[in-house]
Amino acid sequence: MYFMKKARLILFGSLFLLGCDKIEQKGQYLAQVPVFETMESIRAKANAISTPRTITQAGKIYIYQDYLFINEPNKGIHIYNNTDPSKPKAISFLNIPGNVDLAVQEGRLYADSFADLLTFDLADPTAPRLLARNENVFKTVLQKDYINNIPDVVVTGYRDSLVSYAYKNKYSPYEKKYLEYNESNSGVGQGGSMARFTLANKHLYAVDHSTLHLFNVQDSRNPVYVKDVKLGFGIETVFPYKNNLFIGSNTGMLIFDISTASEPTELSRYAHIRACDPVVVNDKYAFVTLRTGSACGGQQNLLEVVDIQDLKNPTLKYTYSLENPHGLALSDQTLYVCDGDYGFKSFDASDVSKIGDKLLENIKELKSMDVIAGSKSLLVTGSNGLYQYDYSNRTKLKELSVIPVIKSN
Amino acid sequence: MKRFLVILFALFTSLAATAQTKKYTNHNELSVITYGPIFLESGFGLHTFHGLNLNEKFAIGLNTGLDRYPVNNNGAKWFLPLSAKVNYIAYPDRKRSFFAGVDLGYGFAFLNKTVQTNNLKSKYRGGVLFSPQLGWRFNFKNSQSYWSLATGYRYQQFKREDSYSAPSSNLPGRDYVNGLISNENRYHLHRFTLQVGLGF
Repeated sequence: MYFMKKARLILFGSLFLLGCDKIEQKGQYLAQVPVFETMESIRAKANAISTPRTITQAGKIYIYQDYLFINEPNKGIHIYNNTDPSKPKAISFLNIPGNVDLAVQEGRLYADSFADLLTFDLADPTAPRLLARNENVFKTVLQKDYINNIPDVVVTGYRDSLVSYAYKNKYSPYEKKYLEYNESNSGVGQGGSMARFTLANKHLYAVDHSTLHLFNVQDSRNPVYVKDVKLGFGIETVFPYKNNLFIGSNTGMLIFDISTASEPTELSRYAHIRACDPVVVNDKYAFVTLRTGSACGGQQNLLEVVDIQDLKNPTLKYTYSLENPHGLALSDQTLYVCDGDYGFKSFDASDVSKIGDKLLENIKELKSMDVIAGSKSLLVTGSNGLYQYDYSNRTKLKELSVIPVIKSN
Repeated sequence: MKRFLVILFALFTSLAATAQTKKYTNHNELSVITYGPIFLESGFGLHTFHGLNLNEKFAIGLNTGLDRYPVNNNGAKWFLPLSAKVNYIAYPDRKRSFFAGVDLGYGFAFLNKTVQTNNLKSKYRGGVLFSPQLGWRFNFKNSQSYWSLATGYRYQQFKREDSYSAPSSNLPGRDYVNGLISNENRYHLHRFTLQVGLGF
């Protein structure tokens, strides 16, 4: 009888048992795994001048005197003698690992190298000489190598790798979720940062995707880090105009007063636009392009004209449809717009209410990304190279030269 | 797997050899296979036990049938269980008696179709089965037959093997994945069972 009681107890007790499913998942996948390197190692082998080389990818372009500086993202800077824009001549290549932007002022070239800011003397523009290195000022590029547990490394590249993974899950319908999640293999990080440099009022403003890094360059031999200003995420471009900075983010345009250069003060945020490559500015208006299909998440392909006469209250005035606008430039009364795969367009912008009706020229075959209105030529970055145009006749651009960009596979 | 079949075969032949002197016994059960006493995402099992009474209290034999388990996010899975089973009856002479049983065997998964697409081949493989039970059996009047009510635990293992003929990028939330080469999900199903049965 004692045994029966015990059995009943066991049966009754079993009613409180709960089952579950345990799932072990494992497998292999091909992935691009980041290659990490410490800043010390990068500094040790940095900034050797080498002979000219083919451009495989064109980044930021800068014109200084008769010289053209073309950034090759993450590799360095190509230097061209552009005395005659119809015959630009390659002079040298400045090796700067991790370089994505540059700015030049008063004979000084400022360039980023992953987390560092480098200052070069351009007394001889064919062979810039390193003057100063501000270490670890762009901390957002610093990562941690979790696999080898090394802090403060940067991603210098990616390699194809076969990665094994193993997870353990537990499931029960009484809790409609997985109860446990154990991952035994991780550490694949994402690296990179796109800095945007601009110089104004003896200060260098370097903007990455979320922060404005401010440097005092009054002593141009020795930039002094001042401070960081948090901007919010999705920062794309920065455009200085007089005593203001216009910062394009993918959710709007920020306007800063930099009359006290070391203390940028936010004046306003023009929201409701998703601007990727946004801003050129004159006294009255900011011209902003929006495009779809980019990482910025835009929904429309538009050119917007924003009234900025009251900087604290920018207001949208006019909107024009475009195909896939990227960079833009303003020269006198002409607005140049890179319309991606749909060509390169110029508009008469003398009357901002009629820009859309006043297309001056459309070079359809020029798949264009960015444009700079230089003193001697109009420089347009296309998918196949860097094009220079004579733009003295604003209704008919005349091609002067092409520096080819040959993509490496 | 081969070893298991050899053991089962040895067991079966030894049972057959002793069948001349031992009495044949049979027990058929219908099971609800669930996660607990509240029946959520429940499956079922049909099992038939054929064995020999070693003595008044112990019987040994083979148990087989059909099991259906709903598996979260992966549809219902079917198994053909084949196991060695030992049954124990506490009071064989009484009208009502406590009994216990334990199964140890293998659940075959061949009833689940291999999924084949252009790039992916998913195969199911069975696994170990373990299922103890406790319950009562109630004898019918003037008969050797009885009906039973029992609860238990049922462990079934199986796995799904995915192989990709070309690397496939479909691991959610992992943008950096260029291509999945292989994937294996090994399931350990720990379930609660409630069984009614008929036997003689």
